[in-house]
Amino acid sequence: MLIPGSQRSIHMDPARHPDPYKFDPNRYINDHQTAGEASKNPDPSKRDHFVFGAGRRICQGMHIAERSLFLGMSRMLWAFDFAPAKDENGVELRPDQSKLKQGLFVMPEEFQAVITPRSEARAQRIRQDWKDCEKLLDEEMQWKEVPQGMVFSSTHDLGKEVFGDP
Amino acid sequence: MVLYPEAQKQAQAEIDRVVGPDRLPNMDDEMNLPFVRGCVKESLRWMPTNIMGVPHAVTKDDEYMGYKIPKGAAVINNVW
Repeated sequence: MLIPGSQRSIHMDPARHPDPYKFDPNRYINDHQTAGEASKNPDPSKRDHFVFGAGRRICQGMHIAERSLFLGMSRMLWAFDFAPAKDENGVELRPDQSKLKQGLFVMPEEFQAVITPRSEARAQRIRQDWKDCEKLLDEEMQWKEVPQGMVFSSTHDLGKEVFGDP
Repeated sequence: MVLYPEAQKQAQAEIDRVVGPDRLPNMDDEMNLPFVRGCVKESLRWMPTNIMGVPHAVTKDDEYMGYKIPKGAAVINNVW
């Protein structure tokens, strides 16, 4: 027997999310919960979404996903303008959001877009920040040294604490 | 962002107000950028990356809201 939990029906339920196919971040403007906090909210109507699952077997990495998405999105929006490409007559080529690739991951079909730095100063800031980050990486783009304070920087010691010296 | 320029404008206005033009946003800005946090949550709702969760199985007979779930039944999230 197979029991599927249908997140898609919940996410696209117009009673929970009016006009559900529209991308509208204002739905969450008064939702200050992290993914972890929302997942523990006893009122299911106050759950942000169910992408990470539910209950005891919920995604263990949701805080990483949420923070990575925050940094990626906020930095890309800080740095760039995103616009549709135009055809030879100057008409915008708007991609169709319902056209997706087949496979294990949800991805839009390829489409053209114009991505422009919002100013030369912002472009320069990114180049400089990247140069600074590169100093932390070896030639294979791995950490030369795991930054202090990152949880897994203490994994080795924790292992020793739990299992003793190897 | 290509399809929803008004969301892009609102996000950039918020970032410009909170972060300014001289540095990249970081995790300390998170609580002051509710619209960008909304973009994250809305992206996960509107177009999640994965189509399915990880399959699990029930180790013993269970019952939930009158539904009998037999031992060994597979449980999977159908995200998309």
